[in-house]
Amino acid sequence: MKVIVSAAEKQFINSAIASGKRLDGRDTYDYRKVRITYGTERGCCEVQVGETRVLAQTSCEVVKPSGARPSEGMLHINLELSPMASPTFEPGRMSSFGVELNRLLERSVRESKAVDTESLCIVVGVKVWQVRVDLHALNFDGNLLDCSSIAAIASLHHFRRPEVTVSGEQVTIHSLEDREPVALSIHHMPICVTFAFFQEGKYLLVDPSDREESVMDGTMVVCMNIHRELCTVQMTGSMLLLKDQLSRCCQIAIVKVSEITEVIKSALANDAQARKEGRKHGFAESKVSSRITTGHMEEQTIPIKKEVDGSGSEDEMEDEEEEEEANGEEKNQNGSDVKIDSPGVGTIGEGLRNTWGVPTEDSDDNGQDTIMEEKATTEADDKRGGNKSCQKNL
Amino acid sequence: MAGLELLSDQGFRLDGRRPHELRKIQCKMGVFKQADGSAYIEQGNTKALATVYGPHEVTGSRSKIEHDKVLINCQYSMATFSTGERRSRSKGDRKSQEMQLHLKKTFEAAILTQLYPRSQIDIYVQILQADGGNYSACVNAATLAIIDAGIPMKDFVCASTAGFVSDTPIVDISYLEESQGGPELVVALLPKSDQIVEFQVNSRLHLDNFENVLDMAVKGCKDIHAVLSRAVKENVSELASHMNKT
Amino acid sequence: MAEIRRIRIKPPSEKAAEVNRLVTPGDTITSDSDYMRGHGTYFEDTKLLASVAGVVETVNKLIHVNPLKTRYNGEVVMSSSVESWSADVVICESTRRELRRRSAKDELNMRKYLQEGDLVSAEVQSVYGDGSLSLHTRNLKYGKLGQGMLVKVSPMVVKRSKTHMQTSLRCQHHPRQQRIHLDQSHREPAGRHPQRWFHPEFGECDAFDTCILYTYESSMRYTITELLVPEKMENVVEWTLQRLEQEGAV
Repeated sequence: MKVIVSAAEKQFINSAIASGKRLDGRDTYDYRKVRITYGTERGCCEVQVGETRVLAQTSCEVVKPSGARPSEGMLHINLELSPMASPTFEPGRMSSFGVELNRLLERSVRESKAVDTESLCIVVGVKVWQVRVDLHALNFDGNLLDCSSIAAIASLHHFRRPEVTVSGEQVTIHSLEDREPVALSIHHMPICVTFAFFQEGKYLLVDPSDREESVMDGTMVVCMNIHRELCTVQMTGSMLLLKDQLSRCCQIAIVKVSEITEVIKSALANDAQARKEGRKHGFAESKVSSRITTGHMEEQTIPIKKEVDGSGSEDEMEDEEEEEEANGEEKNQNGSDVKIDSPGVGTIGEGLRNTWGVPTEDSDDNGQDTIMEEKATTEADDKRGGNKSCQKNL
Repeated sequence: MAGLELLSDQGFRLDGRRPHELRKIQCKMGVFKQADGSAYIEQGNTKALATVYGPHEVTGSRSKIEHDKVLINCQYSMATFSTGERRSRSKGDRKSQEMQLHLKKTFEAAILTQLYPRSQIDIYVQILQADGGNYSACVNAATLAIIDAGIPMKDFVCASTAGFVSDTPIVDISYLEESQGGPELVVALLPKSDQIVEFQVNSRLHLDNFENVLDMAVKGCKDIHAVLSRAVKENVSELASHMNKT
Repeated sequence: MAEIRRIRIKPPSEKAAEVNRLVTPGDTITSDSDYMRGHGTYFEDTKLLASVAGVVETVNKLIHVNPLKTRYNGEVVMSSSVESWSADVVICESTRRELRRRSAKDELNMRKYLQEGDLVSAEVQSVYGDGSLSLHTRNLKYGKLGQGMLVKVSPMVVKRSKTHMQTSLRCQHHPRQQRIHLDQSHREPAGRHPQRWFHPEFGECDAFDTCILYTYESSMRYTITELLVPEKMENVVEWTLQRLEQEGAV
């Protein structure tokens, strides 16, 4: 699954990375903001890493154990990639990307024995608990794996299974009203940290966003817990790395894992507190209400330089960035020379005569209430030689 | 099978090897005349067969054609008789899909893909007997098959596994050693330049031991490279001698 | 099985400098930047490394590695323009040139003469940047091949020559040299050239046109069924080789 990215944009991102900058202003080893919210039902949790969102729900049922392991319960993890998350995900058969993610999640949570499966046994050979963690990708903005692994772990910790008493031959599964449900026995918290490599392994970023993923060479996933144990490591992507790069990634991963584990623990604690105090808890309470739901970004000052020799490429690049990010918001606090003729048209300098046929008097705003109209004075600068009007299509 | 002593006090493993010893490797190139390249490898009791077709026109969906490099198509399968219990495996299950993806990515990094744009290379690997180290046997067999087919590569791709038992890193783990639940590290390497193509860690391995186990696996790869390289040279010299007057 | 015969008929031009060095992928061929890069090699930093397993050959300043068993020395073609027919051409250092034509767009006129799956003998007109070739069949020598069997020859056995016309010649010769029972029809001459003859195990006879013709004539001394016996095949090869030697083709 690939997002189509233009060559110019790829080049821009690559050169930004080469100079140590990221599109959203993060440092190379920074994660985006991780938010964990729990639902009212036990085992339901939503994790947001930046704009990427994954919903997890843990459930359990009693089944007959497999013949090979009659005294152990079972743990299943499944990540669903629905087109809701991204138009590049197709419904139906899972793509190789989906298979890869699922296998990594299985390896990191199930095969690392995070959950004590022996404690899930009720009667040997007859009844065991089968725990399922169902993950759904709600929104995809890069780095689905980390978000999913945090969601799976957070959800497993939050979940409570019904209590079971076995007296002789009789097995009683107590309902939730009878007895307090019991938490799962979890040994450790494996967290996946994704590293993206660029330009043949020269540069490396943690937690790549969607755009960064589209230009990367490949990823390395390091799944660790706070006890400094590697649960899973996987290098994916057609690239070649040296040993010391691997070691470096593992060192960085330790730091990240401890940070994220803290976030999970505090979220769990908050939720436990809220339940105990009888406060309202759950999704409805914890969702931040966003008034503007489409592509809104906080205000940013973007300097617009004046080019002497008329090569306005830097201007135009910055303006394109503005177009993408500041949807409808112009920030001209630096006393720049943008003159707004009418909604949708702005000019710098004295360009040629505008032949677009746009009326110069103010026409009705069609709901774009975020345009600031500044009547900045145009500087008739001889040096510039005119011919520079940037059309802003909003 | 609890209670198996994976590493005895004298430092011997279950099959009598020392921790740094590889299993016996036997390999043969050019086993099939029909395929462009083919190879068979035995690493201890693990037996793998690889065949390579190509480069040829892209079959299947035209949408997969890459305009600037070759499309590599891998297929991995385990024979039903390859494990202790006879088990028929469906092609589409997740583990074999994962294996296929990893093989594809490994060879995409090693083959000089830009030489054959808009074409396809097929790599088919079959495990005839699985006794641990399936992935590495596949990679090694496929490397030989690709060389046999005359498809240009940057270097050999040699793969090996390593584990950690009783505070000792061990190389080339067998199925018994794998199934004990200890950590397993798989490395595929380009030996001349020490560049790692594919790297996997399964099961819990403490970070402090990571370097040692990795070194052991890299050493294993280089040892395998020596064996494969010798096999290729013998094969090439045999073919070359047919071409020249003795 | 027959023992391996090591006779190679080398045309004089190939006796140029041959470094009989065996390399495997990743081996350093030279650090000398003087040489030009040929097939089977690639540059890494300042060194020239081998990318296939084979024999290093140097012709003047060009180094290349001959992999001894390769499918292509040229490129696989897939030209797919809307108007023209697209073809999958396999060009190898052998007499075999197999063309499969697939239509990208129906051209009724073309269909009268050629259909999918036809075997065509054509000459390469030009090579485009992305590897596609332009073929033409304008000469009377070229065109559709009607009868005959496709003999797959192991490319390493075939001698290099400027033109690879062997196939069509063979086909054209069939009618003239038929001296057999009617019921054995025209498939028989083709049967006289089982591809095993050119397999290194049986005899190292490099395949070029006169060689094939001589082999054919020598084989006429036996009936078809006799020819299937390895020893008889060996005899035929020997006779052919003797004849070639007499004519000074060594």
